[in-house]
Amino acid sequence: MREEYWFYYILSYFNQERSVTTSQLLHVFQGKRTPSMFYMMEANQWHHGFLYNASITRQDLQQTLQLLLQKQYLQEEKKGYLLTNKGAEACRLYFEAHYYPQKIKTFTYVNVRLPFWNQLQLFTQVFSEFSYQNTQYVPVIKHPYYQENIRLLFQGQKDKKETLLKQWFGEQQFLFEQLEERQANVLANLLTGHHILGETKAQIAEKLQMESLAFDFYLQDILETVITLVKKNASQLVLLNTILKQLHLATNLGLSASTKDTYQLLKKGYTIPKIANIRSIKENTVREHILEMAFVFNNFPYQNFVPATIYQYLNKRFEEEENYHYRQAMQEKDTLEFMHYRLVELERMRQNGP
Amino acid sequence: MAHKLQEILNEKFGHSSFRPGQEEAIESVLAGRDTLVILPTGMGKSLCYQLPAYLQTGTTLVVSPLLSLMQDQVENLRLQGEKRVVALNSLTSYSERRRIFQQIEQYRFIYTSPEMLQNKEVLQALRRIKIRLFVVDEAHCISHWGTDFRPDYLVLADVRKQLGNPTTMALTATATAQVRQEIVEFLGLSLETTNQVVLSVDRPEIKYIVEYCPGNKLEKILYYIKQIQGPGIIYFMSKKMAEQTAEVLREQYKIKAGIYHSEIEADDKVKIQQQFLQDELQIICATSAFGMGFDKKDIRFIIHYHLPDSPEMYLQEVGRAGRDGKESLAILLYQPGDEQIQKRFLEESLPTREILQTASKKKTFDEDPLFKLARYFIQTHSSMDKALETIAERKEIKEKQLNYMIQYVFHKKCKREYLLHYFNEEQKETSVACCSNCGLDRERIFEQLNRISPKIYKEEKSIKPWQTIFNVMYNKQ
Repeated sequence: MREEYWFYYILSYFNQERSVTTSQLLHVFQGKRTPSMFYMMEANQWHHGFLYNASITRQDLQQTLQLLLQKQYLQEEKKGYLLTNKGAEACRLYFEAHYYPQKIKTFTYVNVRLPFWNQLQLFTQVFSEFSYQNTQYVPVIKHPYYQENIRLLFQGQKDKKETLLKQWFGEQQFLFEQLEERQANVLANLLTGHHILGETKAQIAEKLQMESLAFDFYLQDILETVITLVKKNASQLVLLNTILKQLHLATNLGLSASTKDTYQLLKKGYTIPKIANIRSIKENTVREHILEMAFVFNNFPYQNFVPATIYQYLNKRFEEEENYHYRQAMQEKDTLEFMHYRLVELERMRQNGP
Repeated sequence: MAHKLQEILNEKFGHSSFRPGQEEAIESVLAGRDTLVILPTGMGKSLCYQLPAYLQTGTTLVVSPLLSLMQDQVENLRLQGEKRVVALNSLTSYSERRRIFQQIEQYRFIYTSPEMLQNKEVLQALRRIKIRLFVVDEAHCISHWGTDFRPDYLVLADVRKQLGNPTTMALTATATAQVRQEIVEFLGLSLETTNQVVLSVDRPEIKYIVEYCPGNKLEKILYYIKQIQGPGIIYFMSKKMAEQTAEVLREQYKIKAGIYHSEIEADDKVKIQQQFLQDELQIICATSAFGMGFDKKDIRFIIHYHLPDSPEMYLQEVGRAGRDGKESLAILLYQPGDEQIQKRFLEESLPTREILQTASKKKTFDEDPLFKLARYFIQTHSSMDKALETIAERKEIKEKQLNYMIQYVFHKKCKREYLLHYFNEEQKETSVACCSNCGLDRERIFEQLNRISPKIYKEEKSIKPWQTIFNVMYNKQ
């Protein structure tokens, strides 16, 4: 069943106009962070597949693609593949009856989703057991990092544990009330606490009659929703927001570790040449890092990185021509950098839709 | 002293009496003697080094090969109320490590890995404190001829020396005389003075059955599961096969079966273990990843879907049954050709000339166990050919172990006796209901097993509303 879902999920990446290559798919699942890959994922709304499986191999992928070719759902086109009419219909029918990822529309929380879920599970268990005054239990999350975070939160707050418990309970209740009923039930059934062992993902998937892979995506969607709600309701969800903030920072704010280093220097006000010099990297690498930030952050100050005249010029030209290409822009403006073009293009894409 | 030991056994561990070998091992290290402890699986090895810690000042340093095992052991001690315990391993963050170093003298137990002990900073911190007992768990990992040889274990003799040669206890469940000798030598202990507490690997309460299955293994599994109501584990070599079987058992036969293998996420692993412990699951379909450090007393049967690679491995895994001392079954399913799967695994588990060559050129440190092993063979041999010779020798040993298991399948006399013979042991008492070759009456044993562990599994529940869960989860909120 997992194989069947994977088969159609891969099929959903293809269209009938532009071919998609094996390498491109591989880069999506392995989480390759180049500006061109980010652009492709953003334009095709493939955020849900980004970093889905870092260990997937070309061979794994090619096996699935071969099956899709055999079924005539795909046809070869240059180095890639195009969706056939038969494939388009099969894909449509399959996802009419099966869950397709739909909530992940940005790259912002890709690194923090799983750590936040682990921390949420452990906090829930700790507070639940505390409410029963029980200290003898097996933690559902054994990784010392998450246990250490709990220790740090409670450090020096021994007398306030009751208050924290009340706050936690209130916040969790508020959060679950904001979720769709089914999402809230699924999440709660996965949690562990006093007298509650919690169910595994596979067990819930079976009860929902979902393929395990479909459930993986469903859970990712729920977690994305939870994180968005925690961000949106920061004033009501203070404790949850503190936890999320800390984990988001610890997971590089969704960036690669190197881009995060560049980000810290940018925040200090350093210029691109200065950062390149400090970090002993090329200026173009710094520009790539800036583009990564633009793709990962929801609110990016595009205009800070594009000279005003170029910004206005590019916007005007995009208005005039629907398919305004970089090559064309470069011929018209010799001081133009690729980063300028892509930033303006991205901002417009986010404002107007892909 | 005996009175004091008994008192701590009751007070800290909640047991009323020692199991065979435990008291002797404890008294031995308390007298300052290096001790090698061979106790069969499920006979309480951990207690042998945990109890002395309550009678002495200083720290007990435990070297453990697996992160998950280490975490389980630390959690188990915490569950017993021990707060002065910590794990120091690759999962420990930098800041957490700093904190541990600052208060290192406060710990009664420090669990760590052999890799960690190669870190200068860690060693320096450990040198500041009094290591009262140096414990090497799963000590067979140090032997070239053991089933799980780990080159990292070879540094332990040097580490021991650097820590001032503390009293040492090495423990394992199954070790031949050759492996025992290597453990003592490689830890830098003396063969003359090291006390060896060696108990028979035999567990009379476990009855052995070999089923010849020409293409009908699932049928056989169903036969046993329908007859035995108590909890059981089915071991597989392949994750996929474990998953498929569990799915068939659940969907077609409504049997409460869970899955456990290395790809199951860590939180789900904990849930599966807990569900099994608390009888929410009857069966676990697992790979060898399941079981180490896990202690459910009333497992009534272990089925091996595939042929295990050695008698050591087989006894380790079937030893998870009947820890309550009551009867249980070890059932091995065999179909012609099963040995080929193990032979393929064997081929893949040892470095080839090509891997040795790549490993010798590669400068970066590779975590891949095969590369680690390859690097070890290169570093410890004067030439590639010499290294390959040793590898060939090791392969031969492994082939012998596998062949022993194949012969076990076809052995016409007592199965137990044959397994014991591998460890140079003889059966002390012959029992009529010993194994499938000694007149084991299946009907009678099923009846007996069901009397011991009747069916108590809770009914399947649908997804509960979150409000209902919260009502139970939080007391009076």
